[in-house]
Amino acid sequence: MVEVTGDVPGDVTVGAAAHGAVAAAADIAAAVPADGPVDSQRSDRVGLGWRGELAAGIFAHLDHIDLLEVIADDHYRASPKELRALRTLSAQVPLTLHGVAMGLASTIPVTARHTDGMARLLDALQPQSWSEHLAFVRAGGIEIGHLAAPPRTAQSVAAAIANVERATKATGAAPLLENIATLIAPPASTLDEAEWISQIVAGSGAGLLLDLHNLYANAVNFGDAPERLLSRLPLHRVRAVHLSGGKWIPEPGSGSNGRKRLLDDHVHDVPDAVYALLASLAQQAPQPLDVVIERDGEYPEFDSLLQQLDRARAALARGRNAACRKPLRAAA
Amino acid sequence: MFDPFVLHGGEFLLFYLMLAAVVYLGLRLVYRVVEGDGDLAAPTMTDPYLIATLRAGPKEALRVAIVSLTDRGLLIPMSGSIGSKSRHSVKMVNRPIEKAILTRYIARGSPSAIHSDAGARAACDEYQKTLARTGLRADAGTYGRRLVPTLLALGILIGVTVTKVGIAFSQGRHNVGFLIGLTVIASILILVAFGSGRTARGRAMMADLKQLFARLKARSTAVTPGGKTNEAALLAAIFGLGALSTDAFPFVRQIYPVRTETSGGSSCGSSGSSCSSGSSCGGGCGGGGGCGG
Repeated sequence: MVEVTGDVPGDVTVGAAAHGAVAAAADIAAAVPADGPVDSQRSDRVGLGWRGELAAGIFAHLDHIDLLEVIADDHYRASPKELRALRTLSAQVPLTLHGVAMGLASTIPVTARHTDGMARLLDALQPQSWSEHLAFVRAGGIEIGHLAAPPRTAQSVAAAIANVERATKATGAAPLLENIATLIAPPASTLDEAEWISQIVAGSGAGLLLDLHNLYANAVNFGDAPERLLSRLPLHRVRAVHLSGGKWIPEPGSGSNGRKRLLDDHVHDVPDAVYALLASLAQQAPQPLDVVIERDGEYPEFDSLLQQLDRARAALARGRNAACRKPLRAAA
Repeated sequence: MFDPFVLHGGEFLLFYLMLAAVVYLGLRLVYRVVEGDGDLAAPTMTDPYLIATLRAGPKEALRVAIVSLTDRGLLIPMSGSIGSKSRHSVKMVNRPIEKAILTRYIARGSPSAIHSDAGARAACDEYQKTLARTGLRADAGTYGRRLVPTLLALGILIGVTVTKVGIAFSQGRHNVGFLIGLTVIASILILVAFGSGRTARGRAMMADLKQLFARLKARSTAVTPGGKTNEAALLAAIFGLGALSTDAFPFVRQIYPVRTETSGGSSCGSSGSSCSSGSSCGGGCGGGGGCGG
């Protein structure tokens, strides 16, 4: 996690529900300008998404796990007993919170139910950071139950920035913004994905949670080169990284023409190409990164997850080493 | 003003029952306040034997360790006894409790033989000390803090009983057996709470671990044997040996036949049966509400 110093942005007022989180806000990387000073003493951290099914493996291997990411939506209505259990977990290992249903990239304002729930969790757990997706999840009063990509337009950029501001005011800390995967190119878009994300990140001042499998899937699904897409993102704003896996499925609506799409399903191992992207990111982004491997089902032997953590560390090290060699070569 | 001593028979017994409940719950509340979170740093709860000690005492830690070592193939169960796979097995483990067990079972013996082994006791003592140091298990200081409120609670209940018995006798009534019986039961509950080995903080920690591991317990049949990770040991440490699937871990039934048959599905896990076996829980299960916190 990036340890940055500085104040909460001046235009942020803090909701009553989140006074406790304010103390931690200065430690929350996303709450400060992403270009702020970086604590060089901090290093990259690699961890897992907290899933109760993996509890024993996680507890048994905390020496291999630098941080855990907790799905916030599972705990918005947590009882005091559940919150205390999460505090016990946070005493064992640093936590981050991850929201999935706020719908930041929507023209519909984020709901108080979600922002208040997040503020309550920030208060109770004092996590290292919190994050949400750049997606819309509801429309016309209907919950889609899915992370959907909105049309990439100036209007959706403005709406997302407004929602990030609302969420920041309500919780007392700005979220890290995560790119999502989509099987369908958002219709009526006037911006490509990199431009769209860059404008939101620049306009909101928030940091970026870069999901490299989402990036990879979008690139291969829509004929872009993953490395090229990566290089066009504001990598200096990346604070955290998600790694996951997916599977190839028939392209929606393609009939029998055999075209395939890569579905980001979180139930497969992280592919080699994503580790390569992580190495490339580590080479291009000097700031410390929090890398979380997401696994949502079909859990493998925990050994397999440990190996994936090791591969992530190795990829980070490769990228860092390459970054060190590059200036040396230039100097020579 | 309400004078309970004018009540007679069933009415007074009902009043006394409510008084005993209030005093008992009040005492537990006082314990919770004086033994609550405090400033002590929580220990890293990654060692299954530390967790088993917290849940049900050192003998439970030894049982979980024996099952874990058997799962890893370092102990071999055979017709009511167990033995180390080889003399070299002891070099393959790091934890003192595991070294002590493997050393003890170089010569085969019954599973309960480990309870009298000096090396194993010393290893367990370290766990007890760690738990006491972090405020999760009671030590002399804890019992000292519990003493005054406990004596006060006993004083109230016994004082009311003595007063009522005195009044009854002075009026020529001698039907005080139920009242004395209630007093004895309430006093025993209070003394069990006083002697509980776990602090309020320790009970809360166990409750938290059970909460965090609840989803794993629900899919405990997916926890596979072979000891590649500590999953099985942690599951057993938190919920008891009964939480391990008998299909995947048949040797548990072989080593501890009664426990496995009686403890499955109980929220106390095997601690319920270990309590019934006599001494292993100390006060861990005491008070009728100690299991699971």
